[in-house]
Amino acid sequence: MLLDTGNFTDNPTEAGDLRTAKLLESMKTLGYKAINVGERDLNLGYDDFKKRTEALGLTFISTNIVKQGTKETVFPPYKIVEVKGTSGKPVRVGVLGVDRYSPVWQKAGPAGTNLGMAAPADMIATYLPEVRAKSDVVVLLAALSKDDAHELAKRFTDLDLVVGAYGGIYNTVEETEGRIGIYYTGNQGKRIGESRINLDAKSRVADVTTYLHFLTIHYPEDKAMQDSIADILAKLPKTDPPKKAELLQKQAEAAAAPAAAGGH
Amino acid sequence: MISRRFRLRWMIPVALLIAGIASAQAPPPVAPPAAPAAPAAAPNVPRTLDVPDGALVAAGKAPELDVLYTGDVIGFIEPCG
Repeated sequence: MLLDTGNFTDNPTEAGDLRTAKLLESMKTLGYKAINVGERDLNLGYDDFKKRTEALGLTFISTNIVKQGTKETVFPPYKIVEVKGTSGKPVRVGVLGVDRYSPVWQKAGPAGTNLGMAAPADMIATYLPEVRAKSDVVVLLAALSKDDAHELAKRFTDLDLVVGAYGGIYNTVEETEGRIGIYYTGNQGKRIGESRINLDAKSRVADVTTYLHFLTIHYPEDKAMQDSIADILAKLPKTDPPKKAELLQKQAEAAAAPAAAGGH
Repeated sequence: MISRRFRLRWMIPVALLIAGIASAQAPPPVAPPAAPAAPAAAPNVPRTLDVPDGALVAAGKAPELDVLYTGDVIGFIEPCG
């Protein structure tokens, strides 16, 4: 079962939009079950977001993006995903998603409204009881600092797992708040978290073993996905700002050039 | 001459005092040999999240539920740095 904590959107340029569209299409192909809406994903407002995503059939949630000045959520505040467990029994996974609180964050919302960011704790307090009642496993997708994630896990002990991304921060070792595991995966899709969960006789979490996969060249490419992405990369406008790898390559070439030219 | 009664008057408190000091200075009773000390508890080192033995996928029995997650991908579809 695949989840994403949000902020999947590239810069709002022609090339950035192509990349974002390809990424979302790939997430659909991979079978992501729920995606938290991050701040970046609403850079151009709600209508633009809907235009970019509605044909995909992906499930976007946000527990704390609201109509400004209210507690009315704009996206589904949670998703209950039912999957078939290895034993063959159904497992219900409740997924909530929150972004960092900001009293000044504001974006254009639907039908002339504005979007605002409510305090994550207030909104989790509102929805967690019903999510817990409907779920065997409850996961919080967290697009906020790890300190904030710990505070939430400390307060909301009905959560089972907090998975997050907030810039380049990622876990190298197990991290918990009480019995709740807190795992950050870094950014730019370099790493993918994996939590292996077993349930007890009452269908409650019995144990969790987590790994963080660093997607180096050792992980094999999927040929179809690779070809599909190559098609998009070929279409990127040449004016597209180079990404980090290209920048590093250019810096390395620039540094080597004087030596090659006789050390000047 | 010092009467017998007078000597007793002093001897008894002095004897009690000496006995008290002696007992305070006496070595403690010999304890039976102690069992070998248990090794100190290992420090609580958190488990690494690396996949063991450099494998791509961890070995072991399949769990009931396997949750995979990403975040902050910000449009990266090609290899980066």
